[in-house]
Order: sequence, then structure tokens, then C-alpha cells
Amino acid sequence: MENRFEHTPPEGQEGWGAYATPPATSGHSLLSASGKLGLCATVQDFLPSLIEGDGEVQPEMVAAIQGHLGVCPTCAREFKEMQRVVMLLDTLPAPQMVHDYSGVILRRIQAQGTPQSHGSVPRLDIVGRQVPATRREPARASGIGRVDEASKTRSATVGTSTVGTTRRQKILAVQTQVSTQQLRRVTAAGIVAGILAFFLSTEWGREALGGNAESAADWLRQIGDALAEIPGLHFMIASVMAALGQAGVMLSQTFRTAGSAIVQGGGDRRGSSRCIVLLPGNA
Amino acid sequence: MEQNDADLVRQTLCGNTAAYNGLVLRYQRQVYSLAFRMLGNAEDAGDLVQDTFLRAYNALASFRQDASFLTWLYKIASNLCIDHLRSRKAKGALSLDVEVEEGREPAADARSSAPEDSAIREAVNDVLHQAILNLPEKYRLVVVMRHLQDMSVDEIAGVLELPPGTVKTHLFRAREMLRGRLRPVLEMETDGK
Repeated sequence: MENRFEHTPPEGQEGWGAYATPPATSGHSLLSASGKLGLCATVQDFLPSLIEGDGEVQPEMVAAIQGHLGVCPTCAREFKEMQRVVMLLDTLPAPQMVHDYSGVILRRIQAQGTPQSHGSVPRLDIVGRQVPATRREPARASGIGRVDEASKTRSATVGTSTVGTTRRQKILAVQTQVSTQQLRRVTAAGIVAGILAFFLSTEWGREALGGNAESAADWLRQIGDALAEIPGLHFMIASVMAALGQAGVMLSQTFRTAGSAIVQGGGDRRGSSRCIVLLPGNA
Repeated sequence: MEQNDADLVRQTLCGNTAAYNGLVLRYQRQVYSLAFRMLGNAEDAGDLVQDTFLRAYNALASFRQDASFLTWLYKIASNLCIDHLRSRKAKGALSLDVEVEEGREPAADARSSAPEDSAIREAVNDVLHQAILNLPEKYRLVVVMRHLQDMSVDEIAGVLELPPGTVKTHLFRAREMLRGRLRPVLEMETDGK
């Protein structure tokens, strides 16, 4: 068979002419996939398919490539190296599985119940002890779904996976709920802090509080109790105010023990606003 | 007589956990092998075997049996492997690249290993294992499935939900990367002959 892949042009021809073009095959051209022009590059583009033996390379092309490999040491070396890599991969021994995991898996299944239940079951070591949380990766929404390579969106990839979808929806709902709660708490704390700062920046405000931390703490508790009556705000307001009140009492006790009553004069607006509850001698 | 996978799945769905144990015993080695080559160590591979079979158990009702049970297991295991690797990356775990680059020279290992053939092959296998672990996830997965799990391109395409052409492209690129990383070994063999 005529070999169009040999380096030497046939006798009587000055250049490659028609011989520069490999036999026509679907999906391949003289321009190699690597973008290089040239016979060797073209041949080398065929080599992976040739090694794979996937039928992509037509029989006449196979013969032509083999002819080229017979006369081109560079391509022959490439081919040999590729074959060698495949051979090494194919003969890489399977890793030894030292433990039998069936017992542990069975125990975990029995611990969680029926296939339809989806409770979190702790991972066990080979003797059935619970693996510490620090060794475990963080829980993902679903091990079944995963981030899709192209869209980077999480998608279910097992069967119809309605189970995974439902779980993701639940998790999304919980995440939304949590973030909304956090936002409400921060907003409430900000509002309370703003009101308090404004109140204490005025003379009448400080007088109303008696100018000391215990009064401030009482005042905070009263405000907290009042706000806690508002439906939907009970939990966040109560927790914020309780924390502020507690801080006030603690600071008051600290100052009393130290015997330093006065930490701030009454005239400086900026100073007094910074020392919201640090006003034991301000009366 | 050994029961087929479909029977064992059916019995499991009827509440027979012993039947599921049969599936675990049948396929845990394959899942372990995939996990070990993907994650690089026995401990993580063992954890992944557990998680894979537990996930499969919980999603068993959605198993359509249009593919084999093992293919379905591979799908779950490969997704868990990817999740695990990303989690490891996010945690800033020591990169295997660093381990190989800083820890030792693969070529040096191969060259300085014992003269016996088996010792040389062992060293080459070690180098190859590290080279596989240094491949990008998507390439690593395809190489492991094709060469170490002995799956066809079409089977891999089914598991990864990719066109067969893409699987081949990943496979060929992965082999090229491995060839680059194994060059010292390959050159040594060429020189030796």
C-alpha cells in the first residue's frame, strides 16, 4: 500500500504535493489539534486514538501512520512513550484493602433506620468507634449532588434524585432562615445602641439614668422587657438587652471594687456618648 | 446460587439489610480502589467506602437499574471524591503537589531504587501513583476509571454524565500529563535498553 507518511517524497516529485495531505478521514485535517502544521504533528494527533483502539482511526490511516513511525524516530519515540504510559497504568496493582468495611457500614445503616430516613449518622472507624468530628469533612448539602463543572451550580446526579432535591430545598430554607435571624438581630442591636447613644449624649438623658451603670443596666432591662412584648422580636431583643444589661452590671461592680467612682465628667458630649455605661460618678 | 444485584436491591428495599450487606461485600473493593487512587491514602479511602454505601442505601429507591449497580456506586463515589477533594482544598490541606515536589524527586527514587526488577517496578508504581494524584480532579477521575477500574469510555461517560468525546479528550490529556511527569522514568528505561 502506498504510504503517504514517509518523509521522502516519491521519485519524480520535487515536493510533497498531494503526498503532504494524509488520507481524508472524518474530523481530521492537516492542521493538527495542537495547532501545528506538519506531518509529524498530524501523526502525533492520531497516536492517542491509535493506542486507545477506539476505531476512530480508519484502517488505511493506521497503515499509513505505522509506515511513518517506521521512518520517523521522533514520532516512533512519542508512540513508544505513550504506549509505555498506558502499559504502566494498566498494570498498576490494585491497592490492598486491609479492612472489611461491611460490618461498619451495616452498623451505620442499622443506626439510622430505613433507607428513606436521612438522619446524619456518625462515621465509624473500622472497630465501630465514632470518628472525631475534626477528622470529618464538613457536612455537604448532599454527597449525591455536586457542583457541575460547567455551570458551577449544584445538581443532582443520581437517578431522578428527588430525595436530593428535597434535601437541598430544606437546607436552603434553613440557611435563609438563619441569615434572616442574624440580620434581624444585628438590626435590632444597632437600633438599640443608636437610641442609647443618643440618649446618653444629652444632659437630660444622663440625669434620667442617674448617671451610673446600675441605673443604666436597669434602664436597659426595662427597655428590653418592653421590646420583648413586640411579637416576633421577643427572642432577639431579649437576648440583646440581656447581654447589654449584664455588661452594665459587671462594669458597675468592677468600678465599685476599684473605688474609682468617676471616670467621666458631665460636660463632654463626645466623651459621654462613648462611655455609655461607664458613668458611675456622673450623677 | 449467588443472587444478582437486582434481587439484592429489591430485598434491601423490602427491609432486608443482610441483602445490602451482600452488595457491600461484592463491591467494596472496587469502591475502595477508586477512592484510594483518587484521595491518595487508606484512611480517607475507607471513610469514602462507608459514605458511598450509606448514600447508596439512602438513595436506593431512586436506583433505576438502567445501569449496573456498580456503575451507580461509582457515580456516587466519584461525586463524593470530588466533594472530598474540594473540601480538602478549601481547608488548605497540604497539596500533594507540594508533597511530591518538596518531599522527594520521583526520578531520583526510581533511579536509586534497588536493582531488582520488582523493586524498580515498585518504585515506578509509587511514582505513577503520585503522578496520578497530581492530575487535575477531572483528569484523575477519568484515568482511574479507565485504567484502574477497567471501565470503557462509554461507561465513564455515563457515570460522569459527559459526552464520550469529552471523556476521551480528558483521558488523552491526562496521559500526556502523566507522560511529562514520568519522563525521567521513561528516559531511564529507554537508556537502559
